[in-house]
Amino acid sequence: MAKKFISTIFLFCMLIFQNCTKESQSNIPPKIEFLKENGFLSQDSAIPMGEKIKIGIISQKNDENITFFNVSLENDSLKTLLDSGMNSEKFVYHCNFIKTNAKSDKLIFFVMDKNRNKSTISLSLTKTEVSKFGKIKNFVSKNIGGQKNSQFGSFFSLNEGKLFTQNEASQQQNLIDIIYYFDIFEATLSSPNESDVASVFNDLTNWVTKNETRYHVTNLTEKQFDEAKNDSLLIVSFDQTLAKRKAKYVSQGQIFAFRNHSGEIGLIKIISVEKLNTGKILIDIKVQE
Amino acid sequence: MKKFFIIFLLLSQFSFAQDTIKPQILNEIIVTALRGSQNSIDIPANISVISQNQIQNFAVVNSDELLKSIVGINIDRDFGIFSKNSSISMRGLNGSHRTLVLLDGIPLNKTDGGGVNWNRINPDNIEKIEIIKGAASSLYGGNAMSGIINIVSQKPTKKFGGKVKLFYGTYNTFGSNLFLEASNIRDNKGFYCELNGFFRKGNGYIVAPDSTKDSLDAKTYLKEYSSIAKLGYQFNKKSFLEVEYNFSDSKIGDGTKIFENDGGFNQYLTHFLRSTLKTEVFGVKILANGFYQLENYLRQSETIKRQTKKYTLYNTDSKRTDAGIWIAANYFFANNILTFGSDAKYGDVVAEDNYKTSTDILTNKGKMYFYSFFVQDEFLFLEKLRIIAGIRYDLVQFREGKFTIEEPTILTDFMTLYPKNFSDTNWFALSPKFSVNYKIFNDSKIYFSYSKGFRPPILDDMCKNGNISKGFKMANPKLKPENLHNFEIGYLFNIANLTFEQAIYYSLGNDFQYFVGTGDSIYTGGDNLKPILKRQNVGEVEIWGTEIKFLLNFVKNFSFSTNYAFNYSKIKSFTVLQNDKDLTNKFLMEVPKNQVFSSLEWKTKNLNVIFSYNFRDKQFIDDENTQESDIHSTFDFKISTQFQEKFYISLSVQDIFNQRFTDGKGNLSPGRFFISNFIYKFF
Repeated sequence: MAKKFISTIFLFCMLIFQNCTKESQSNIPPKIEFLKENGFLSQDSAIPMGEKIKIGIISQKNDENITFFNVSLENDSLKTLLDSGMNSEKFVYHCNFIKTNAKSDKLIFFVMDKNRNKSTISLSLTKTEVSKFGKIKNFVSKNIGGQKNSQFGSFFSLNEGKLFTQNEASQQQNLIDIIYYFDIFEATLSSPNESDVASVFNDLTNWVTKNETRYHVTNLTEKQFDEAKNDSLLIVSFDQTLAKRKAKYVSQGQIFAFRNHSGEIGLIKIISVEKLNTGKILIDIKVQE
Repeated sequence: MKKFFIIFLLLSQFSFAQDTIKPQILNEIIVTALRGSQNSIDIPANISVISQNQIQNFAVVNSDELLKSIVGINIDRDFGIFSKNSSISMRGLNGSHRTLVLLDGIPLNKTDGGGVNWNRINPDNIEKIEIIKGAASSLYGGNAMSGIINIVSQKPTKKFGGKVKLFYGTYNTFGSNLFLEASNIRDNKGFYCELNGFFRKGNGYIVAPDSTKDSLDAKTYLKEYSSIAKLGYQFNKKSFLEVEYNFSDSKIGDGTKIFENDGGFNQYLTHFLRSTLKTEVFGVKILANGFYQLENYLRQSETIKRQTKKYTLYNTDSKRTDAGIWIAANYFFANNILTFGSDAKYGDVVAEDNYKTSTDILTNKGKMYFYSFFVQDEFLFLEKLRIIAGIRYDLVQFREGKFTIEEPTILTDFMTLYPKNFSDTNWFALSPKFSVNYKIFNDSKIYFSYSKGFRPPILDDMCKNGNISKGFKMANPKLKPENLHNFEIGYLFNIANLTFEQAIYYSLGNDFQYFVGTGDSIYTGGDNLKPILKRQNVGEVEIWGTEIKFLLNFVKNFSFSTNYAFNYSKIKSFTVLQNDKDLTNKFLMEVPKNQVFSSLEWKTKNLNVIFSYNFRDKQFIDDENTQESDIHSTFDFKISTQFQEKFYISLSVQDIFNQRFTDGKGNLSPGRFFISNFIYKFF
C-alpha cells in the first residue's frame, strides 16, 4: 500500500513539474529601410520651403512581429507625425512631406517589435535659399448645413468644391472631406472617419470609404487668412500634434487649420454660425492645390 | 417570481400532511466568530454553514457558486466557469472588497485591489464554508464590513487515501483532480500530509450576442492548473503545526482575438504559503497564522477600434504581495471568554503596463502596512444570556507610492503632468462591537448586535493613474477608509422539523468612495475631452434589509429549504465637489433589492437528487442609476450516485431552461451548462 502511495506521489510531482519551461526572448531588432524607387527620396537633401517630397519605408520583422511604427519630425522641437499600432511581419509605408520653414527638418522613422526591439532610420532636409510655395484653391462664402437643415447639405468635398446631402454623399464617399453638424451645444466640424459622426448621420455606419480630416484651431486673424495668396501660411499654421478628427465649439471669427486624407493642408475661416441642428455655418476655405 | 411562490405554498401544504422526522438543527461548531471554536447557537449573528455534504450535492463548478445557497449573497460571475474572476457581496453592499474572505483563517482580499481570486480555490478541496453576516472589524479588521466568509479546507484523516476525479462538460470543458492523503496520527499525535493536483480546460463560447458579433470576437477559453502540498504535525489533542503551499495558474481568454494566437486574456499565477500553529499554554488557546501570497497578474489586451481601425496591443504584469502574521488567543475564566490578539499585515504592488503598439511603459508601485490589536470579552449570565463587548485598533501606513512613465508617446504623454511620487500617509480605524445573545432553548436564540466595519482604500486607487471608461483616473494617496455601523436583531427557532431564522439590519456608512471630477478635463488620445476623476471619500450610505431562512425536513429523505433577502441601499448624502452629478438618494449599484434561493433535495443511501432555484432582482449597473440589469433567475439540477463505495458519478445542469442574460456591457452568460463527474477512490 505504502509503495503504491509513494509511486502515485512521484507520478503526481512529475505531472506538476513537466510544464515548467522558461520562454526565451529574442533581441534582434526588426529591419527598416528607405524605398529606393523612382520618385521617392531616400537620402539627406537640400530643398526649398514648401516643396512636396515623397518618402517610402519598408520594414521586415526578425523573430517577433512588428507592433509599432512611429514617424516624428525634429526641427525646433520634436513632433510626432504618426503613431501606428500593428501586428505584422512586414509593411511598406508611403508619405508626402512638405518642407517647412525650419532651417533643417529631420524625419525619424522608428519601428519596434513585440519584444520591444527597436530600429530607427532618419532623413535630414535642409532648407535652400529659394522658397517654392504652392498654389491654393479658394472656396468663398460656403454655407454648410446642420444635420436637420433642409436647404444646405452637410457634406463638403475639397476636391470638387461642392456640397452634398447625406444621400448624395453616400453615393460618392471618396469625395467627402468635411462634415458639419450641431451636437446639443456644439457646432462641430468633422469628417467621415470621426467616431461620433455616425450617430448623427446614421448612413455613415455603412460607408466603405471614410476619409479623415484633422483640425485644430489657430491664433491667426481673419486679416492674415484673407491675405494668404499661396500655401506658405497654410504650411506653417498646421500642427499635426494638435490636430483632432473633429473641431468642437466652432464660433465666428475663428480660423481652423486642417489636413485632409490626401495630405493637403488648408485653413477655414468661420464667418458665421447658426447654432441649431437646422442651422448652418458660413465659411471661407483655402486649401493646397 | 409568482410561479415560485405557488410552488413554495404547494410544497408547504404537502409537508404538513407527511410523517414528521427530526429536523436538521443549525447548531455547529464555528471557528470564525471568535477566532477560535464556538457553538453557532451562542453567536449573536446570522450564521450559515455549507457542509461538505452540501458541497458535493450542489450543482456547482466553482467554489464561490456554493454561496448562491446562502441568503442575501450576491455573486457576480457572469460568464460562469469562463469568468476571469468572481465578485461576492452581501448585506446591501456592492464590491468584493467589502466582504472579508478567509481560507483557513488567512485573509484572501488583496491589498492592491481588495478582491479575491476565487478561481484558485478548488471546491473539491473544501471541508466547509462558514458565513457570518454583519460588520466584524472588531476582530478581523479591514474588509469585514458586510461579513466574513471563511473557507475551511480538508484535512487528511486516512492512513493512506486518495481519489481521482474526471469531469467533462459543455463547451468541451474537461479536467481532472487528484487528491492524495496520508496520516500516521495515533493517540492524537503524528504527522499528516496531503497532495492535490487539479487542472481544467475549456473551449469557451463567444460572449457577444449575435446582434453585435463580428470577426474580432473569439471564444473565452479556459486553462487552469493548481497544486497543493500540505504537511502537518499534531502534538496532542489541542495542538498542531501545519504548513501549506499552493500554486495555481489560471488563464482565461477575454473574448477577443485579432493577431495574437492567444488573443486577449487574463492570467493569475499565484504562490501561496501558509503556516498555522494552534496550541494551548497555561489555559490560553492560541491560534497563530503566518501567510505569504504572491500573485502575478498577467494581462494581454488586444483591441481594434471599430471606427478608426486603430490597433492596440499591450501587456500588464502586476506583482501583488500580501503577507502577515495573525495571532489570536482565547482565555476561558469564570463565565467569561476573553479573546485578544494582534495582527500585522503587509501588502504591496509593482505593476507595469507595457505597450507593444507604442513605446510607453507605465509603472505604479505602493506599499501598505497594517498593525492592529484587539480585545473582546464574552460574559455568560445565567447560562442563557451572553454579552459581548470588544474593540480593535488598526494603524495603517501607505508608503513609497510611485507612478512612472517611460518613453511616453501621444498615448500617455498627458499623464506626465500628474504626480509621480506620492506622499506617505497614515490613518487609523477604531472598531467597536457590542452584542447580546439570549439562548431560548438549546437550539433557538434571539440576539441584538451593534458592530462597526471598515474597508481600507486599495493600492490601485492610491498610486495608479490611467484611463477608465468614465474618463481619466488620477491616483489619490490621501484616500481614507470607508466605515459602516451595523445594527441588527435576529432570531433562530428550531421547532419540530422546522428551522426558521431571520435577521433585520440597519447600516449607516460614511466616507464611501466614489469617483469625483477634479474640474479639469484632458485629451487622452481620442477626439473628445475626458474628465479627470479621482476617488474621494464623499458618500454616506444607508442600508436596511432583512434575511429570512426556512428549512424543512418534511418527509423521510426529502428536505426543502428556502431563503429570501431584501435590501434597500441608498446614498444618503453626497458631497458635490466640482459640478459633479449629485448622487444623493441614488441606489447603490449592483445591489438587487430582492433575492430568493430554494432547493428541494431527495436523498437515499446511494442516490441524491437536488433541484435549486435562484432569483436575483434587477440591479442598477451605474452609480447614476441610469441603467438596470435584467432579472436573473435560474434553475439548477444535480443527480449523483455512489456505488461499491469506491465509485461516484454525477450529472449537473446549471441554468436548465437556458435563460441567458447579459451583463452591463451586453455580453451573454453561458446559458445551460452540463457537467458530468466521475470519481474513483483508491487505497
